Amino acid sequence: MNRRIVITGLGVISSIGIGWREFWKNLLDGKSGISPVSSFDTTNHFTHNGGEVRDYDPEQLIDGNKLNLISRASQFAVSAAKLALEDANLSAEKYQNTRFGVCIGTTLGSVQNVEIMNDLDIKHGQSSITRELIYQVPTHSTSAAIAKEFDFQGPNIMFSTACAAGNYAIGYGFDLIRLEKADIMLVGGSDPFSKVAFTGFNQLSAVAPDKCQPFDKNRRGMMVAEGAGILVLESLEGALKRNAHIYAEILGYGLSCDANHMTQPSVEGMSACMIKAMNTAGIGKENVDYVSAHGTGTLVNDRTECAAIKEVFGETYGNIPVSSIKSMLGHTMGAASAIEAIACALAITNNMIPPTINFETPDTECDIDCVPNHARRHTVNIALNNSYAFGGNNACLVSKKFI
Amino acid sequence: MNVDKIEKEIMSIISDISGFDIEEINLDTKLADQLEIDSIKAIEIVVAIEKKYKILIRDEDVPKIITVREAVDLVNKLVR
Amino acid sequence: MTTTNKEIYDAVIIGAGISGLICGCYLAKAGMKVLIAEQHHKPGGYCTTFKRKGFSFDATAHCFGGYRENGMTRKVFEDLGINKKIKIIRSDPASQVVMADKEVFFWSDVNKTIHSFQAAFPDESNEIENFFYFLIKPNPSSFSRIRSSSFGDLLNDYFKNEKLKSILSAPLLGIGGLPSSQMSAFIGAKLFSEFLIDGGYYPEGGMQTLSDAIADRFRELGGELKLSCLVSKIKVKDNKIRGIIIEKEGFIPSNYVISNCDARQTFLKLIGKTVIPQDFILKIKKMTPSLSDFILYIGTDGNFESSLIPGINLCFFLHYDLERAYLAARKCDIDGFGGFLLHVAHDKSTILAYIPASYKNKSYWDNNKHNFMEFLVKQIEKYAVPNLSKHILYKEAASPHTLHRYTLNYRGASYGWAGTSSQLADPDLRKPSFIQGLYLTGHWATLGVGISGVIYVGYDTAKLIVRKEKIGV
Repeated sequence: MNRRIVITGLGVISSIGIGWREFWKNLLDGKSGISPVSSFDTTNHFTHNGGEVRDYDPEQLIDGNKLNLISRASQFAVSAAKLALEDANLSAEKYQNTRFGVCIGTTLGSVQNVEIMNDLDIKHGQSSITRELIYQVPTHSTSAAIAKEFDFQGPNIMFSTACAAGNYAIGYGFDLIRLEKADIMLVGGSDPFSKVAFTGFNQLSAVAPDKCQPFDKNRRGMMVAEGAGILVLESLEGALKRNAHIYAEILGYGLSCDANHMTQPSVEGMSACMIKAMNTAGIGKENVDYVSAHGTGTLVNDRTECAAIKEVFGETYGNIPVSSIKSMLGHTMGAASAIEAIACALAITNNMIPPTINFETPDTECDIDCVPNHARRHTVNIALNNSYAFGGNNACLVSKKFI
Repeated sequence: MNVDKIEKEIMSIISDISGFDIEEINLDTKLADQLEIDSIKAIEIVVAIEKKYKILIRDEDVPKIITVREAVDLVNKLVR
Repeated sequence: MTTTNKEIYDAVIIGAGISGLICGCYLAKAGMKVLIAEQHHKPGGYCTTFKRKGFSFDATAHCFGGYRENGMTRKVFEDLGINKKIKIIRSDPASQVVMADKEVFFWSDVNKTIHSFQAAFPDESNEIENFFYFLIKPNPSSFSRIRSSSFGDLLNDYFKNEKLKSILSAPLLGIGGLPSSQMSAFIGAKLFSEFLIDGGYYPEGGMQTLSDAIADRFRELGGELKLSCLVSKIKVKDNKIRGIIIEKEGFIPSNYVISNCDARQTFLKLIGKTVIPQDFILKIKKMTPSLSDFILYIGTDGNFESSLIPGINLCFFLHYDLERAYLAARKCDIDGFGGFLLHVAHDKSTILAYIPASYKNKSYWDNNKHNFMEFLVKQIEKYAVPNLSKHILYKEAASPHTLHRYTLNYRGASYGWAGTSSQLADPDLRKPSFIQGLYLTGHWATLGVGISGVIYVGYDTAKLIVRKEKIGV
């Protein structure tokens, strides 16, 4: 009999809230986390807005001495992990640590350090680059930082599948517990607001100037953003034994690759992924109550994702609420699907669905029910969390109300 | 959305749930005092409104709905 | 179809459970021509009594609440004169909750109850008082505020002590079939105030006397009650109620149909899927019924010694972990459940014991019924009534299948739909908008559970119809 896996703790660092409570309240209020970019000069860029995390004081969550030893991506992740562990009522020293692991997703990880090192090199020469800065560069330094902070000596993995990385990390953490290779896993994703990402997406003409408008006829693209989302996963028996509060159960996940194009998604790849996820989870399409869309706000993603949803759900596609919280947060890259998984867990717990804000004009190609502009009360027993990354890397996570 | 339409629809919902005729209901009608809306009926009304307009009404906002007007205003605010 | 019965009724009620009976009384009182069709050979639904080997057993419900001065039950019983037909006695204390190392009582005087809790949990004295006063204060807005929350959330608002929270949740697992994390705060609060705080009322002679008294009153008011009468169809045409079809009698025209029976059956079988919108069918199918119960009936020689006060409702658990107990109940893991609910008759002649249980399949109960019975007897002997076996003259049990067989409640559900906040107060399940003239009453209408809860729904449904017909209440 397979172990069942449940979510027992949530930690979020985002532009609309630090900690899941503030985050969830603002999600339901339809609050936007988009603001003028302040961490670097955007004069030479096409756009000037993004989803930077403000009101985040790392010293509240991380010892001041450690701060210069870990990158912003890692600070986010460690902070979110701390919040998640507190939320789960877990204290690392009480348990056998080799059974506790970490699995994190990202796009560019500690790329800010590369930018810092580059700037230092230009201004002061190579010798100004410290050892500490270099240690933080490897992508896996984030999951290592979490392990170090909480003494988690179990499996430690970093996924770099970008916009789908959070779901990959959650899926893999789920597998490890299921296979009894770990008992508790900290899983999720983190990405900082980086000049590299911002410039890159600007150059691809993929960024909207003012607001992210998923599924809207006049959508102009995504919003670059940052943040972290960490979930505590554990076996159901473990959770029950220690009387943990259970947000939701993870039934399974699906992965697929379009094997097609670096940036152009495919309907086949997206739908195959959803179907695989539902099959693994042992549910039918009629069981799905909510889909947390990838919904970046680009012409291509939203159109393709809607076509995939119609293909998967058939005639009943219009009955399933599909919202994109990227309309509020922007695209937090590697953190996105993890933060969205957190939103799914909260939707399931509370039977409420966050809206897709900034929705003004319907698009016939995106005629799904996108929960426009206002949160909705809706019984959510099963939620799907879609994520699609460059290279056609697709991941879909299925969560269920635990009863 | 047409404000008048919402007003009529909400009065219809309240009429249905309270059992009072729609002619007996106007914007100033007090739900608890005049329409015998007790706690469970208040929840019925909120559930009906949420389902009809596909919105979310916060628990904290429910006690603020004293008259029909407050219900209409709240819905107008949330569907705008 | 042939109309063998030429009578046209103003209203037909399907099911003579308490809610249907009360609804029928009020409709008849207002002058409407009312028929109640009940498939069992006696009225009452879950409020019936049966006799075996000289013993009289209440089948499921074994007391009621809400009979205080301003209580709903009192108001309705006095209104209809039911209080004159039966003698209502009250156990005091009405309920007792024992969990591992703590014990509390529910007395008729709420202050005594509060003291009982405070004695067990002195560190939460103030909070206990605040909690109880919140529950008995009749302020509509305070209850609406807890609409989305679970009873567990409500407890967390007031208390820190986990054992106290468990002891407050334990009886609700017994009378609602849900742990506090899933039970709607509203339903939990209502059950608490109407059944625990203002509970322990009993009709002398057994629950059947209550059902019979209401049925008698219904007839006196001009209503017609047909027993052993199975309704096979609800006729709908052009989205309007036309009447019902009774198996042996054919089509009976009626303007209103009030279903007091299982909601799933009402919509999926009696009305039929062709008339019902697809999304409504999906919704019904996805909804969760409450758990059922495994019930043990013991006839005794009346001579056993026990610290239990006759007439009391005991809720007993060996531990405090109710979430685990709930999961065990769902798996019918009687050992894992680690507790039981018990009611000793006032004259000690009978004992009723039960635990929440899942429907399972018939062969499961054929194979396990006796194990369950033996296990429960041993547990009761060990923790509540020493040497009970020596005093047992007769014992029998009802499984969830038995409950289904006698009431046709979906999966033998004891409390209608599961009392979660997402399933609370759905107006579509009370008065579906797509069929004119159709109402639901009873614990499947999502508005109330427990006897006082369904009395309210029955009364209110009648009120709505009477208002609509403009004939005054």
